[in-house]
Amino acid sequence: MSERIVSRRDFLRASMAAGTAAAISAMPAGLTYAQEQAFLNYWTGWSGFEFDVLQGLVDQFNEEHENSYVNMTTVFGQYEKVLTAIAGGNPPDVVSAVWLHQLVQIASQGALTPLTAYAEAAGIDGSEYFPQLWENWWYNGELWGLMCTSNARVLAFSPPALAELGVSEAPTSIDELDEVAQAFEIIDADGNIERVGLLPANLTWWAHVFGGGLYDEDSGTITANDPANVAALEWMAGYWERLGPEKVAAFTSGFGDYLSTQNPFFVGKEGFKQVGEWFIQFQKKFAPDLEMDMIAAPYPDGGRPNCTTFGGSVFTIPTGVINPDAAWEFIRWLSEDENMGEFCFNIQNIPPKVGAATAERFVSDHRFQLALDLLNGPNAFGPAKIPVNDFYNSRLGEAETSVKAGMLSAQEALDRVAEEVQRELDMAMM
Amino acid sequence: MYQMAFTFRRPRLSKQQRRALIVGLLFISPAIIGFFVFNIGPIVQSLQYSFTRYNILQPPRWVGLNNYKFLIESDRVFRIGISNTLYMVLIGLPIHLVFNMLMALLLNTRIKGLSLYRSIFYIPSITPVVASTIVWLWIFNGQFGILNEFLKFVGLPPIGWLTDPKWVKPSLIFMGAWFGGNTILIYLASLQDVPYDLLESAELDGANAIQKTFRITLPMISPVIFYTIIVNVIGYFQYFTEAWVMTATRDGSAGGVANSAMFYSMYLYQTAFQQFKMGYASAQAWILFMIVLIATVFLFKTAGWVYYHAED
Repeated sequence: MSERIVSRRDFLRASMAAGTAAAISAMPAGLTYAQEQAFLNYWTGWSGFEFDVLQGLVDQFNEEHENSYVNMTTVFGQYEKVLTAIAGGNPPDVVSAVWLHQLVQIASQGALTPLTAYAEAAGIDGSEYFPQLWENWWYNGELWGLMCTSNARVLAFSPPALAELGVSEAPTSIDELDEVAQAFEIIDADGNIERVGLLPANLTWWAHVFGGGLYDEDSGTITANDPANVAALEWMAGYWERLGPEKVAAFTSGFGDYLSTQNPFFVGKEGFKQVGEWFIQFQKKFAPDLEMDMIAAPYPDGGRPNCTTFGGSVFTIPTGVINPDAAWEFIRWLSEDENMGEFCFNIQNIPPKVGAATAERFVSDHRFQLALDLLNGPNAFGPAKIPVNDFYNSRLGEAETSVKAGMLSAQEALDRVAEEVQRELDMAMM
Repeated sequence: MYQMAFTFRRPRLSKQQRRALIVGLLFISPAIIGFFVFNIGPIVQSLQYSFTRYNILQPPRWVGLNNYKFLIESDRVFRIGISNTLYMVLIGLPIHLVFNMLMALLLNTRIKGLSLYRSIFYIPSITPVVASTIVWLWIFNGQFGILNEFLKFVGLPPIGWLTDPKWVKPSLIFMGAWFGGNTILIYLASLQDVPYDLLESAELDGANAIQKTFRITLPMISPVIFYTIIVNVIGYFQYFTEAWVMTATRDGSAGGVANSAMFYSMYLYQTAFQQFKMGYASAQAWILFMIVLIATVFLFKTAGWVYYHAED
């Protein structure tokens, strides 16, 4: 037998040292929290400069609260992690990577802690919030989350670019929009697109603008194939038909990243861009020299003027968290007018509270005021409160791309969506 | 000693041998336990879940064969996934294998700088798939991509490689040639095992290069070709990463325009980890398993063309 090179004791010592070293190196850097503090993991969907702004507020919260420490992580683009973590029994304490349209779905799966009692105890009764937002956070008689930011959809354009075409007034009707958008187009001799006026996207918005809707709450019916929705999709796909689906495909595949100086709107490749009020901050950051204005979606005869769809991230507490009280305290603190206002102002989102949203620093920008008016107007539509919105959106997206590619008619595509989503909804309700 | 262990009679182990056996079993126990806990366990469990409605957060609810019935009768995207995947298996895979074989034959010739070429063709295989795919996203870019630049140069119109439903799958096949390094290496190794005396005698009998390739080289390496077909058929049925990275959108969905790049595994993943319909996804997984099993059995049953050369 060969001689033992390392004694058993030395081996154990070395293993312990290596284990300790590994454990120390695995600890997240920069965390300084005391043992008696509630350590809260907070997962956010914000990233980039928006994450940095929120981190500033988280730091402030940590400074002000001796008993809690919030550690924020972004799950941008990996939203499925949230449910996996909750299901796996290791949930984050606070999650805002839940879109408004997903809230009912996630709550109905039993993944969230109801906040009703917390809100009541804190005296939050919804009176300070925009009513249409507040109403959207309720399902089955419980409050499931609070939003600290909200968004309303608008159409952005550059007035000087329109002036070059001899257009001084922004379009208000669909016909006017089509006319200006087509005048903006530059197509080379081979039919290749060099500049485009508008590429209509997001059927959900245009369906409402055209007078349609996606769900009838009274009858529990999916109304994807409402005649107004079909008309909206036909109008949208008309741009593809006219320009050529292959040409549009080649053109759009060259688009730069949305969150960058290469955004096609910023480099003048798109005349009109469907955005929300958040785009004001993007423009300030990525195209500070660009003169940009915003309008409500132009609408057709029989359509809805000043129509918008709203959404945003909802702050929620998953089921099974160790310290829901501390988690609620973080959400409550962030929902205070001052903190909510600070966050929203720095990322140019609409605060869901009336007081914070109507502060001078927000409404002094007429573009922001427009978004706010739309959100607060009679033609503002939130997501349907059904537990199959993700499925619905994916089927709508497929229908939209199929019709634009000339593979199906709008009627066929939306009939199919209505049938499939209704079936999915009926099964979910079983 | 080892022979004793393999006799059919119950072996009588000495104390020392028994100790050796226990130590041996203990050494491999992490692998055995891991295999049962992390492989066999979930496999059996997924079969059970495939007969339930299960979203992980709530207890599973027995639905019998409903998941299978719905998948086969009513799920349109599931059928799209199958047809796209079959497209890759029946069209993409043969193209890749022929291409890889041609590359291996070329790299088996005696030319200057051969080892350099071999390294160059192998390098893409050691690059992570996601990283290479992102490079290919730029190559396929409609406006700035090198492919469309080339088309423009020769006077052809640009192509929406990844945005035009007609072109997405051919683009993925085109890109797939890039990842053939491992198969090329396997082919190359087997080509070098072809007995030189056979080739030499054929040459003396007046056989030309094509005759030598088809009459001697390919039959001699047919077991290796068979192996690569089996492995790649299984792999192509699980085609995922490249298509997912190529078509992923900001909101986390993927599948390309009108689901033109929705492959079986992608839909399975979406069902399981985006819609959290674990029972339904388990049923999909079992159907995929059955398809792969049938394909593999079929390949073995039709493997009469494989020639197993016995050394004297």
